[in-house]
Amino acid sequence: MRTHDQAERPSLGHPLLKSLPEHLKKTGLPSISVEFLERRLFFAYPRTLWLKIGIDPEASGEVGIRHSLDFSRLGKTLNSWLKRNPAIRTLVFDLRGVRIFDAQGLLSLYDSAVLPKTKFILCENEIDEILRAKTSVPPEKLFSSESILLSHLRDVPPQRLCQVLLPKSLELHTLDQALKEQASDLKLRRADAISLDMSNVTTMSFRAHSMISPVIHSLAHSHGILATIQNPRPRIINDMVNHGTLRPMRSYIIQTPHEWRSLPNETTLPKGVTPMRLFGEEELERLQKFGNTQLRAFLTHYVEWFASVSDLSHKPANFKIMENSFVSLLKIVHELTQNVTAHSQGGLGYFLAELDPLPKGGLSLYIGDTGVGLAAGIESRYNIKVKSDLAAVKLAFSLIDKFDKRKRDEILDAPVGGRGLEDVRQMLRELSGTLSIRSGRAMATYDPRKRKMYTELFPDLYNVQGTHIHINIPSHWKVLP
Amino acid sequence: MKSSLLGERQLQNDSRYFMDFEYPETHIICANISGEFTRHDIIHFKLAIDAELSQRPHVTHLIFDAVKIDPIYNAAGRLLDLTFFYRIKGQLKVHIKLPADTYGKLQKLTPGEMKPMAGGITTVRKVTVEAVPLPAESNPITKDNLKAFLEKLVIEYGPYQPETLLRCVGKIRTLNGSNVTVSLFLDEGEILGEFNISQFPRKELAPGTVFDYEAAISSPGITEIKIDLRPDQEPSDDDLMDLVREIGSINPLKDVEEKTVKT
Repeated sequence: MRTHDQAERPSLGHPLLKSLPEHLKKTGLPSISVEFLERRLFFAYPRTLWLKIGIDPEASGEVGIRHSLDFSRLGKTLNSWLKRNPAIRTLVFDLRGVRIFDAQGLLSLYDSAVLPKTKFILCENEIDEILRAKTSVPPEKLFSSESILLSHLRDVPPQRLCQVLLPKSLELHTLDQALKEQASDLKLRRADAISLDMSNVTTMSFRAHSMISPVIHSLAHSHGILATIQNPRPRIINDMVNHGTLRPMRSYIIQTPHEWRSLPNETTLPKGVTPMRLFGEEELERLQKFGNTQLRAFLTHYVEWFASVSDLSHKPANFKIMENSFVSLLKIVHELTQNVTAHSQGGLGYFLAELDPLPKGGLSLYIGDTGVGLAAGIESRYNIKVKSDLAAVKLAFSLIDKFDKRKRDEILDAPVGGRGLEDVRQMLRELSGTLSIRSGRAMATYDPRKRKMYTELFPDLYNVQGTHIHINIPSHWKVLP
Repeated sequence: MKSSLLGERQLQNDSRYFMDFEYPETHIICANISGEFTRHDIIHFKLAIDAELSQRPHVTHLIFDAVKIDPIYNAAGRLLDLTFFYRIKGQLKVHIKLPADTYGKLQKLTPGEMKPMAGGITTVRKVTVEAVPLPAESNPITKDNLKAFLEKLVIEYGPYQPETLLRCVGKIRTLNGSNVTVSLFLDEGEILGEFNISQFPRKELAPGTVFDYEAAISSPGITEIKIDLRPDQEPSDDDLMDLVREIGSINPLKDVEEKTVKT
């Protein structure tokens, strides 16, 4: 299954750098220079623009392009962009692969860059020796190893942590409330990492487990920051390991013991829990087969639970109905995971499942992504305008009413699909399931057995990127005849 | 005559795609779908059908036989969209065979477009749709046949270990006919549940009655529930939580080491 280790090394394509190439173009840099630089604008956590100036010796013409760069102008352009984008607070000039011949010009770029306290040079061999001999570059700003520099950047001091004290009973809404109160955009702008202090947490719900990694990922995208977990009780650590709560985002989590992010021990893993899995389009098929296998394992262990759930809407229940109920669950997972890859547009998908046969429990499923969000997803598939996150979550399970507004498939040249979410809604009605769908700041809950429209709206939640769906099929205790 | 597996033509070495063609007459192509497929496969199906049609200009009828599509992986709605495409854009006469269950589900999703099936055949946007009923089982679920069903599962997924599912102290809250609302006191706190009065050893129950509760799975699928009423007394909820702290409860999802099923 996919691992997400982007945070541990410089990477291309971070959302916080999206506007930089356009800015370079607007300031009149030749397009060939912009394209050259675009391939060198990396991002590192936290909040770091990592400029890899080195060239590929096998790429023809790159040496010439680099020689033609006007470093003084580039420095001014970078500075004007940095002033408009305070989310970037560290600069790394990666001079590996640079010859002495070019070093002087690049050094002028370093000298001209703002952010005097948080700019670094990564270099090796002769350049390293020359710069160390040069008094204008403080030695603590010079690094000759990428991994040591990354460790230095990730060593976030306490004053750069945004502290969030989590409540005793950690559930979806209490987590949300704590983040809203203690991790506002303003506070996060002054931080390099969010610190989730779990010293008070004694219980953690399925939905809270499911949202920790997406929240960390969302903050990493929107603010370029890392995360740390502090003071969890042993029981909570065990619970988090079993649910895979931290593991998907382990490379974004600093200052925590490795064990908290490790794989659960298969021999002690509760059999009603499937730890969180990540997936993208390439892993979809594997994820779906994995989901099927896990639900089949749940069925094997808790067949009476399935029998009693099948009995909810059909009296008396029979095996065909039980089989249909089970197939419906598999189809729900299948449909929603397909939606993730189809609509997240490059975002990351998450899957978590738990069956707690006790009365307050039931089967809980979480399928989410940190992609473009529901509104953009709907607009990409339908000829309709979705004005807000709230409008999107209100519309999600009425899309069948917009069937004639489906966009044409490019290859088929005809409208295709659009029945999936309605199918999910109808299957959940049969299973007496409930569902919540969250996108950005808004969430709507649905109880398909009671009504087609949403049952409750939450318009102003903490902003979490992407779309997040939670399903619960409640336990139904019944004595079999 | 039977030829041209889609896998050979478009998607070599990918055994997921199950579609082949038959030519009952020179003007008819029958596309047989015999396995699972997903929404993305529709495009591949279209490419394969287009290739067939380009080689056979005299074809006027296209038949889709999708009776064997997978109940979980099917993208029957999109397949129907593909039939509309060939009916309208391709100017072909199109006939599709679907499992009756699948048609029923599609009809429920878009009742404005599809009529309830009557007589096993109907038309949707000028495409003829044939609903083929599949054999139905109808065995009421009882403890006895659940056991048989589970034995089948055990063969498929491995043996089931006897286990204690839950052991704790409980207290009756309310009685309403045969429904008994109870509190169960677990390590993680008090939970509410509803039992049937027949599960208790005697019927003279009253709110406040305290009992020992144990649910154990003795054999696959068979959960044996044991309830022992405690002598007449009514400890407070705090007393009961203290008792839990003293003797502990068993809740396999939280505390007990279990063997994980090999999946």
